[in-house]
Amino acid sequence: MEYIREHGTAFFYVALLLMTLVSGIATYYTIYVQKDYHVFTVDDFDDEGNLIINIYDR
Amino acid sequence: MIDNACDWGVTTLLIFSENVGTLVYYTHMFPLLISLFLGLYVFLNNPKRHVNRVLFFVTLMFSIWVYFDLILWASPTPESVIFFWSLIVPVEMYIYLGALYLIYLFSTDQKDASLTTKILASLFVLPILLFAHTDLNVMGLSPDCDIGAHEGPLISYMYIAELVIIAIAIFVTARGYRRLTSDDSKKKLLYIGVATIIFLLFFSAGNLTLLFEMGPFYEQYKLFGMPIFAAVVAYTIVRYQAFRIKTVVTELLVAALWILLFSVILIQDMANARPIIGVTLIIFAILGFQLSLSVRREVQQRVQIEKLAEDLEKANRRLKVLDQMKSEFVSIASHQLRSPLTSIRGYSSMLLEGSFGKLVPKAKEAVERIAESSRFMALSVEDYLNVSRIESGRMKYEVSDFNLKEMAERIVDDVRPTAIKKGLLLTFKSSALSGRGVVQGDIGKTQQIIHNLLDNAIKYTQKGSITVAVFDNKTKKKVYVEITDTGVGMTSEMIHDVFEKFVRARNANKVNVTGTGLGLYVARQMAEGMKGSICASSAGEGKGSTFTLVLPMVS
Repeated sequence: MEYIREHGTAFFYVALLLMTLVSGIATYYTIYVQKDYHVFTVDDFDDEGNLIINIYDR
Repeated sequence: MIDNACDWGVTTLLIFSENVGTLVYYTHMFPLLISLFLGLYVFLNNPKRHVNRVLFFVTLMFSIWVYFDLILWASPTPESVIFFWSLIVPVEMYIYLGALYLIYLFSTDQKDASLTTKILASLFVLPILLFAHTDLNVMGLSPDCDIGAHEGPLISYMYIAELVIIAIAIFVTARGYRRLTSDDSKKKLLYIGVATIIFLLFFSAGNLTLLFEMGPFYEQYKLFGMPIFAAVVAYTIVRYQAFRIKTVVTELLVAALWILLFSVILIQDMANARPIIGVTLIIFAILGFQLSLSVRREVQQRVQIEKLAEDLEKANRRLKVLDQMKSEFVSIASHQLRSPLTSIRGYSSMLLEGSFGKLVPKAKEAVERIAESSRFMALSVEDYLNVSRIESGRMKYEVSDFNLKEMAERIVDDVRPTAIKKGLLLTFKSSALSGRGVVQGDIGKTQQIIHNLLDNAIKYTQKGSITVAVFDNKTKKKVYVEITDTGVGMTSEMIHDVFEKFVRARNANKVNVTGTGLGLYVARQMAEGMKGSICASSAGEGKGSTFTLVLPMVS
């Protein structure tokens, strides 16, 4: 604990960097490996360009 | 899922595609290169300084953002559009947080923020990191190829967070400006703070054009804040040595011209001119690098010289202090020595005179040695005290008119027995004195000088004669006492050094081992203190010497 207190800022930066890397890897995995992304069609929008489907309910 | 949503062409390095307009490359490449150059330049010049690292971080994040944005413009696959669109969001957040951190450091005169403040600030980016991979970030690929992706609530959150960060940045700048005491620090904060806020405002304004669906044309203005930011940072480096960088003008000039040339290459209409510009670019890069290098070397040398001069001045000041301390020490020590010496001399004199009864010859001989040694020691102590007084500027001169000829004659008579005892012929002569030999000076000190010169002449002359001559020069209004001996003599080098402190003629030890090397130094200082002088001449070693005391004549 003492060591963590002394090097708190360094730990903070490393944690932030790791979180960013994990977030990036998760994004890559979701999109490139799982191919979990939506491709909307024109029918998904009304005449004014508003999305008429709720993607979160799917 | 589809493999290719839009009819995009093939890309090179992910960003070069025929589908992307020239204007987009211009608006992106120019700020990207400027940003990278500025960040790298500042960082490499002083990588240990925290504020330099932060600026580098901001410019690096900005460059990555611009590169990702270009990828989005030229992306050939839906995956790359969604992926880079998602990644650009945390990068953008880091630009804002880094910029806020930069302002904070300037607002506290480079005092780092506490860990708690950093953790609180990082909370802005936390939701983005947690949900970047979900469809809260980018909802999906739009059927309209010009729009690209459909943004989710996380991106709206980011736009709001950015505006909040800008508000905090304005507050931090204003608070820092009020709190900072040094004018220099205030100006640095003002320039960096305002430039950073303008940079962020441009960025956020560009985002708002997307939000209001104003089309991609207006979005291009969002990057215009970077050249302004870079120009102001460069100005603060030149004007206020912000980021502790000494040279910049040449490098900036070279970089600006290089970037300008590079930008010209991107204009597609100039395809035929590209090879020529390319070659010019390479030549200019080499020559520019050499020019920057030589200027840098010269500046480094100048800085080194300035530092040496500063060190020298410090050392000089220290030496003066030490010299003064030494003089004070000598003065105190000499005073302490003088009292017991007076007792020794007094009692030995009384013993020799028989005040305590007649001494046996052997005892008398011993007491005579005590008396002689203590006399020499008293003279040495007097010399040290005189040096101490001269160097501390405490030597007092009681100036009055007196007859130098009579004084010199009397001293000659006083020391004649010593000369006769040594087998030397001591003569006194004076030429017709127009002003009767009356001079202005301190009587006691003049006596001391003549005594000293005459004692030296007797000490350093083994055989032959010593002549004391007094004469004057009415035109120059000077009276001279010239003491010529047939003693050990001096070389021209020795004549030059003999008036220095603790310096004795090389051959002096052969005939007199007890000198301190201070007598002539003190004599010259005293003569000069009375607006006179002392000079020496000699035909060479073994050919005798002449010492002349000169004092101002009273007309």
